[in-house]
Amino acid sequence: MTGTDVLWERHPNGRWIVGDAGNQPAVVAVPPALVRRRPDVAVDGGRVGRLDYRAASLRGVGHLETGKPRQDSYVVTVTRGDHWLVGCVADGVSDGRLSHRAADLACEKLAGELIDGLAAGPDTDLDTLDWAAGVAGVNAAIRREFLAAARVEDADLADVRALMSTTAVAFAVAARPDPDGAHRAVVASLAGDSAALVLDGDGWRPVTAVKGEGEEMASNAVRPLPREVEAEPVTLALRPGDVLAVVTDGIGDPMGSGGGVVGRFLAEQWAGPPDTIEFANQVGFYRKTFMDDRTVIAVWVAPEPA
Amino acid sequence: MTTSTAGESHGDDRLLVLPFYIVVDVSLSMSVAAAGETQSPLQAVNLILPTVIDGIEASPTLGDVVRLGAIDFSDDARVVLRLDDVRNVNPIPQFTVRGATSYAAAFRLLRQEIEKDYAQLRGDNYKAYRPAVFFITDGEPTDDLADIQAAYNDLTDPSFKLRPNLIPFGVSNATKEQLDQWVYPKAGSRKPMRSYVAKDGVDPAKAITKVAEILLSSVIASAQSVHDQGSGGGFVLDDEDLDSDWN
Repeated sequence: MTGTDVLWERHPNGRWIVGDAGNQPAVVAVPPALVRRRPDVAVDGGRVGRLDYRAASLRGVGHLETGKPRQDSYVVTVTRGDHWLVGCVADGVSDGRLSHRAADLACEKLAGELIDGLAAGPDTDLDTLDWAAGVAGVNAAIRREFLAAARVEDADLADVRALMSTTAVAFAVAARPDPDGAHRAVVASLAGDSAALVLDGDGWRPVTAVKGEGEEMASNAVRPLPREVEAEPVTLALRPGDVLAVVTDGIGDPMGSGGGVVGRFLAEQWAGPPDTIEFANQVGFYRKTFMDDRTVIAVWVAPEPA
Repeated sequence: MTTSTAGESHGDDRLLVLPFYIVVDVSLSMSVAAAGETQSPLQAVNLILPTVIDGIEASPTLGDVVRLGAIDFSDDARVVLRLDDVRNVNPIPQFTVRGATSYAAAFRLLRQEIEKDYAQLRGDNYKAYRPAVFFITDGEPTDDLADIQAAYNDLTDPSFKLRPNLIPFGVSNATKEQLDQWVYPKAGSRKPMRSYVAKDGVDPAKAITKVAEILLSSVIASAQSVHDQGSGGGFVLDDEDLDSDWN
């Protein structure tokens, strides 16, 4: 790219183009067959304590073109007393016909487990969260729905994954700061390559492994739920002005480690919490060859009062 | 309207690309139609590129991610179509008959071309999936088996990071036993490929039209795997519509 190229601009239809749109604006959406009552787009936004959050999940260009449903899912919610913002994003694995439901169930169960685990309030020790129970809950819920859908009595998890499987990354952020001014937070990527990044004055910084980094060859291999996995939660101290973005690979892949044009585009758009509907439009940018469903939950920690 | 300019290329800016090569035997025997048939195998081969390119162009976004290259081989091997976005291919090149049948020459040129093409893609800031090679032959290589084996080993050496998925298609005198040697990865690996050999009595030209169908459906399935999560690797061999003419 030379110094004179436009890095991002609006398409005449109002969408953002980051770099090269390829032929994505020409895609005509095909309705998803056999999957009803699943919107192509979901959005949420709100404020709790000193946090603003925005969430958007969009059916990708690839699924629009091929008539598949949005397989991404998310949940964002607050604990009792508004002490913690908790959430989860999940990416249903395309091979499975019911993977969108696996993604829904993973988010519901993990958010539920976090709400229970944080019931002690703002002082909860994040190291005490029972991630193993969360994973077990997700595995059981997906398996239960599989047994009903397949009308069988028993199945092992590999059979279940053939019909419905998902990645998931769950998080919690304290709504109010500790005395030192930091908001305690935890992020756990439970399967596959959904990721989380933090934006601060120095740009984006991945807080979970970046998919494919350092690899010669592109690849999409994932190890999805339901599966026996050990969570490796990462605890964070978010500072006033920081932005935490929890994303599926539809955003994670074009962002990479956040240092490229997509990272710069989002950093500029997300300098502060945008209008909620415009947030979805920012997530839905055109970029050649990146056609996956996209889901982001972004959390802004209010800056220090001037 | 807000726009932003400037900035240099960055590893995080790499677009995705999915390379396919078709490698075609243009030995003399490929130009001879089977008894009672009007079309020679080579005439059928010359319909592959137009069929696949039409199929790619029928989708708005397939062409964004797919790259197609073509190599022929006889006594030597030659690049017929340098790996490219099919929307840039005009006119569509033709395969023409030459002489003998050197698999070794084909494998050696393939490795060179893959190295050159991937260096170019990297320079153009693309991140490429592992290439897939559709290798079409009527069998009876005229070179020494040890020489073919050495060239195959070099092409599929585990230390060669760009080693391709190799899918041989055999018509006429090609046998399953012969072609199974040149599959990569072989049965037993995590994501094995396979060979396709037309059964005795199947018109080679008609069989080759099936190759075009498998290639196109694999292109489509692979492109979907690029934006969907799956078992990894990008390339998906899709032969769901395969008929009973093949072993």
